[in-house]
Amino acid sequence: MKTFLRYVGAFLLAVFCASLLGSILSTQFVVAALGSIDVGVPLATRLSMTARDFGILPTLVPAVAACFLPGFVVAAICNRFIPGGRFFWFVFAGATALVAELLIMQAALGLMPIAGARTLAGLLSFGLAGAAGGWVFALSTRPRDHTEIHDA
Amino acid sequence: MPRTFLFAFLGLLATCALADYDVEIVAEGLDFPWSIAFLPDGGMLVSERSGQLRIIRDGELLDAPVAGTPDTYVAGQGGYFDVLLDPDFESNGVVYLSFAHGDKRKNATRLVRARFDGSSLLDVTTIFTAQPWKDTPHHYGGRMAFLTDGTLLLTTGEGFTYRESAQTLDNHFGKVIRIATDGGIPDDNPFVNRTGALPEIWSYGHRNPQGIVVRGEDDTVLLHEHGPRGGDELNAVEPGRNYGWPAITYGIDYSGATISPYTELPGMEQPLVYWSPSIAPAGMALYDHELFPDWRGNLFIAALAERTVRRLEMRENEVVAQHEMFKDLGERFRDVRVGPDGALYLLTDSPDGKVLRVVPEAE
Repeated sequence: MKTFLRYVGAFLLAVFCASLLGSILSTQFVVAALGSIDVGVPLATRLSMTARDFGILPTLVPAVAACFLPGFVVAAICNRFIPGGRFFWFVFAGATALVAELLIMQAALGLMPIAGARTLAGLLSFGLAGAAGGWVFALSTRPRDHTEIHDA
Repeated sequence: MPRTFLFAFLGLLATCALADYDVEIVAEGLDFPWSIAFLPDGGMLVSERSGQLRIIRDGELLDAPVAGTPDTYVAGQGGYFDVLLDPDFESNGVVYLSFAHGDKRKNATRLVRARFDGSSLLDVTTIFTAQPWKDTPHHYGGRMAFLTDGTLLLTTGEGFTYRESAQTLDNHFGKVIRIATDGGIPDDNPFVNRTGALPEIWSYGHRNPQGIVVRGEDDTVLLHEHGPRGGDELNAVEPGRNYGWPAITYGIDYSGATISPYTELPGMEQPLVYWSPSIAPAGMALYDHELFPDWRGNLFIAALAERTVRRLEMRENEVVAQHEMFKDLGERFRDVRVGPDGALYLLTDSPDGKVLRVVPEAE
């Protein structure tokens, strides 16, 4: 039970970190897009806009959780059969799961639902956020006896 | 025989002047009707987003659609949009049709002119195709109106994904374009001599304008456009002006994210009124007929999301009161028009769409 709760806590922390980073990066890409049409955003406004955009977290957190769950299960299975790269698998899973989810949503809706991910760089920034989430999960569930765990 | 199925209805606001009317079904079973044009013989042409033009004649919707119509890209918000008669239709039979042209990877708002012989479109000629192509099935604009000089205005949307392009003049995303009825470019268009600007552009900085009317007495162009989450706007549009999207907006993104931290910037026009939360304005008419004398000079705006028709009392370009109408019908309204008989015609947005006629209450 204790292990289960530890994994749940790690998962939630990973989801939150990825969502937070995704939100922050998305805002920067929106600001950059405004800059491309000569609409300057001073630093103070950028910061307040970044903070205001945390309002997307109620939407983003469930979406990130929905893709992290299968992604991390696959990462755990990969780690069981190809051990030795535990951090790699979770980082890779976090990145690809989030990018894949956005691409699937884009294909289904006919548009990219998150403006900051409309460009390739913006999309990859969500991959970075997903990777960070995977890293947080891997770190938080690191085996305490210094051996690789295979039961994630 | 139209069936009367509704009753007198009151405007929502307390300030509303009470108006009694009946609502009749003119036609039903239409597939997402988008626009209606009134023929001199008393008939009507109705565009369906699914890519058909339908005829209502002697009060009946004919089974056979108009033949000879162009192919369209039916996806998302794409398909047939506006149908408009030439001011000299009685003598030349010319109609204009806007629609989504292309396919999933390359599509755009297109405008054709053709002759309507009562059952078919003949001599279909493309007079405008927005450029560049886009790969989203959203935000086409597509409404048309004639200026009093006989030139034609067409609205275009910014394709959702390309919102910043509404601020640049090298494309047709998020613009009002003005052309002659043969597709030619009027010499007095505002950017006709500007290097790098597309000469058809008449105004810019729009998102997805789906309502446009010209007030004939002074050629005032009134236009409404969909905002994102909030920020739907009604604008009085003038040539060469920038209406701000997405640099300034009163709305936020559907995700909840900020689109722009600004609601006003130098060189960008403010709306006459904006709606937050969104009502999703999708069609507009200016009422000027003696059938409902209290409504003269009012704007009627069909609202999809709010499921109402908004009646706006105007004092020149100032909105002095708003009234929500037809809420009891529970319908998404795609368009509202004034018929030659002075009745208000409403199009409902559904796969079983209707044409409704609003007339004074029977004694």
